[in-house]
Amino acid sequence: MMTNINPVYDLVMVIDDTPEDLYITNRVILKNNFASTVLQFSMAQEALKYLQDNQSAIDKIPQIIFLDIHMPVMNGFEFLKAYDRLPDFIKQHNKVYVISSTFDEGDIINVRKDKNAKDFFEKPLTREAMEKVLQQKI
Amino acid sequence: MLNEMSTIDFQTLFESAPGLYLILTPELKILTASDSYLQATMTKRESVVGRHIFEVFPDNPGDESADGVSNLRASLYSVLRNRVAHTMAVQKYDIRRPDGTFEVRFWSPMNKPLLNAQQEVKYIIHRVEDVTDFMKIQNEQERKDKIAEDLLVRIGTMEMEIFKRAQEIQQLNSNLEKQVVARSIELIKTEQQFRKSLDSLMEGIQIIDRNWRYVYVNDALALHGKTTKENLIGFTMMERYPGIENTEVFKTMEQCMNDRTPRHFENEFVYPDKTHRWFELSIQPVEQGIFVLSLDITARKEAEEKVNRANRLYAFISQINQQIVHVQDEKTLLKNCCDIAIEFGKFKIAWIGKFSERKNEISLIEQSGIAEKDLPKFTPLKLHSGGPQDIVLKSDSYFVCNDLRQGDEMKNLRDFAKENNIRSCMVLPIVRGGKIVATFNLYAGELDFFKKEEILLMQEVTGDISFAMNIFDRDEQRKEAEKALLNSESNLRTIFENTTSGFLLLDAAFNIVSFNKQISHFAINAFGFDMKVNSNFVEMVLPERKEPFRILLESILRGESMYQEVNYPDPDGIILWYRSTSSRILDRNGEAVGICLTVDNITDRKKAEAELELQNKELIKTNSELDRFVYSVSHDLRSPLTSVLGLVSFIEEESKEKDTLEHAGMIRSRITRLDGFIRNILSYSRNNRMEIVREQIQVEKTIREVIENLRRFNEQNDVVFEVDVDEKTAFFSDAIRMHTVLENLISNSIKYQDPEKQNRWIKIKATTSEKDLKLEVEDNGVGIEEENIGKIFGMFYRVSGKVPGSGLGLYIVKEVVGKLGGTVTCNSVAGKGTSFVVHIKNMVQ
Repeated sequence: MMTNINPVYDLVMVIDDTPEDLYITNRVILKNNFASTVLQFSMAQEALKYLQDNQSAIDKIPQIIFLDIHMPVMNGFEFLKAYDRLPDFIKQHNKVYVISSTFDEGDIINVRKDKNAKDFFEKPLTREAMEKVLQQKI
Repeated sequence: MLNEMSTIDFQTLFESAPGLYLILTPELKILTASDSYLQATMTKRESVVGRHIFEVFPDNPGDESADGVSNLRASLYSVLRNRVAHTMAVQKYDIRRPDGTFEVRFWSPMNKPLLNAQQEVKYIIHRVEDVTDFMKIQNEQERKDKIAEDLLVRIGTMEMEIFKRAQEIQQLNSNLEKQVVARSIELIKTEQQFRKSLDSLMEGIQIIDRNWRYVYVNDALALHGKTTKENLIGFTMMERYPGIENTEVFKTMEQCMNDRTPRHFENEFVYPDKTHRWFELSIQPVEQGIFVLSLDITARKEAEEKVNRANRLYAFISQINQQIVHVQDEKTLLKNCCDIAIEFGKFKIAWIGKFSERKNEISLIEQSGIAEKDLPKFTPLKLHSGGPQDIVLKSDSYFVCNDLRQGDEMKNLRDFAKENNIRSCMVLPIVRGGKIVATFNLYAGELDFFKKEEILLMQEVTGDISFAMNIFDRDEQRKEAEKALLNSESNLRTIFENTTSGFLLLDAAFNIVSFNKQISHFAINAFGFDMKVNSNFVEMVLPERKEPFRILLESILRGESMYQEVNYPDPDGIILWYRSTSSRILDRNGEAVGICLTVDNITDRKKAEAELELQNKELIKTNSELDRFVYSVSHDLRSPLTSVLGLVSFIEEESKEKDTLEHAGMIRSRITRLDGFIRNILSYSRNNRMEIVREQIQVEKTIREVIENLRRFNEQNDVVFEVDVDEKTAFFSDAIRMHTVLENLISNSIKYQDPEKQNRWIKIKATTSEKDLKLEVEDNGVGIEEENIGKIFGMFYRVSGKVPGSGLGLYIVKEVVGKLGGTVTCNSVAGKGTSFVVHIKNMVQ
């Protein structure tokens, strides 16, 4: 699927405070034709602001959000809490996946418990993980 | 004479006879009955005469065992058949009251034929004696049994020593009862003999005219009078028995002669030879003068006397036995023994005298029945040689005098005896510690009071008293032993005063019995008061603390133990710590009689403890800081690693350079290894750091998740997993730790697969129970060399350098399983495979 010339998604958002990780995720997505455009945010509050600001333009809302957990100022869980307050049509339009280097079971369990977090993937984001996302799309 | 005889109305005579008679025809119809018979059977002459005997006197239908009718019928038939008298055994033959109910009666019947000239039975004289009262005496036996039983019940509640004592008494009682039974049997025999003799004698009959001349006497009377008919008839009573006019009997006869009313009484007749006999006399006025029926009742009288005396003495001994059981002091016991002798034994006087040290005097110590004025005679009483007490002392036995008018031994007592109506006496030794120390002196008003049985009984009584005295002695000895203990207390006191512990002894009312100086220092420091023996401990504390303090002491008295650590400042204001413990003091019976309170100064220990606690706190703090440090460092370390792994995968995907690819592979390998290490450190630190969170675990689901996760990140995906879970019992534990255990064990099994083997498998079996979860992880991997099995759970132990790992995995498993209240064991054969068995406690609340 991802070998197709046409990317699976139009718009994917990545939120990660580590520039290298942001780069790696971005590159993996693009290289595997997972998305045509990647919106990159190194701060969660800015990503949230983007979503709030673009409510009226649904084409600017990403279909997939890859979210890191451990970030300064607003961490992944705080973002998920704020995300939950977004209008339903926004939330229905996209899915949030958590990617993190954490393997603190506490973190992972919290992710699994969060209704807005579809799944948890370990960093680095892999082709297999993206394939799983695709399967969940169906 | 015959003429005179013919004028005698024999029917009237018969009917007024004192005996219980019935005259029956051979058809067993009642011809007539004596008044006495009618009275005894509650019937009237007109309602019985002419009727069949069994119609008038049927069996009591309320008494199933009633056999009176059949026995009587058998006896009557025997008389009709054999024409000789037949005496029946004592019968229970209940009497129908006029109202139709029955009254229990015992009878001694005799049936005698009256034959006509042809030697045919013309009449049957049925003569009975109502022996109901006599039988009741026998029934007394049962009442006595009951007394013994009551005694036993009471004894049961007493302490052991008393119990033993009582048992011995019980033994005595039972012997006593055997004797009473034996005596009763003997009495019955006497009674039967007496019946037989009566039978042959029948009543004496005499008719005396108004001039006191014997008009008629029968053989029986002549026999009673130890003379012949001829010797009496025609003579006056005064001629035959000079002085008779001064007797009570004569006076009664005289009254009857004058006022013409019948008299009925019992009389003791003294013969010229001084022998006595008892007669039941019935005097009727008749035309000629008086008609006297006399029945010799000496045997019955004597038997009655004997029973009375036995009963009296039995009551006496039984009372004394009870005294021995109940009374705890010697003086009261001896006084009561004397009183009981008077009250129950019906003795005139009873006194207990104690021999002096030199045994030349005897002093009255307790008495009953002696007049005030006579007391000085007994205190002290010089022992004269050959006197009763002297005889007792020398013969080591009792002394009896059955007639105080005779015998040298009693000459000193004669006047006193006369004055007090004493006619016989007995003196018994009271033995203490094997020696005669006193005498029990019993004076009776009757002559010949002390017969064989009485002597035996009195010996038993005195034996009992001696026994009780010895018990008192033993008590005394015990008290003395206790006293000796008190003396040795001075030694204890030294220890008591010099020990480092404070001791306080309270009685059950919390009065201070004793204390040492350590505790008095404590009291001054802690409570600000000086302790004083005999003052109440509760009253000494501050008013607002009294009540809680009392409650605390009461709970200690009930058996609760008290342990307290308290602190009070010393006069210099330095805080001192004390440990106070209390326990109750029990006596021999298990009764709480007081409290022992100990106080120890534990200030030094407290200081050491406080230091230790501080150190511990610091250590815990350091540990937790270290944990947090490890946690955050691991996290911070891991984050860049993942970045590196991401970048390496780009190189691996994009580079065509062989060397570059090889190097990238090596970087990945090292990074993976480092990553595993960090993971392990993290889960180790997590195990220490986090509280256990109890929740229900879906065992199979968890196992499958772990397998799924591990499969994704491992190359050896061709391992076949077999999962067999029985989780019918809900299992509760800490989910994350469970996960850690499973992950480490399964990943180990994956890591140590044998590449040589074709079919590689990992079998995971889990069973839950109320108690625990049993988890087995088995593989057919490389296995572990036997000598290494013991080391695998050690920290940083690694089997092989070839397999990536931190050497922490199994260490963590062991630690985590330990934290979850479980165990882990390993079985392995090198080259064959390994199996881990884990038990994890089921935290079902």
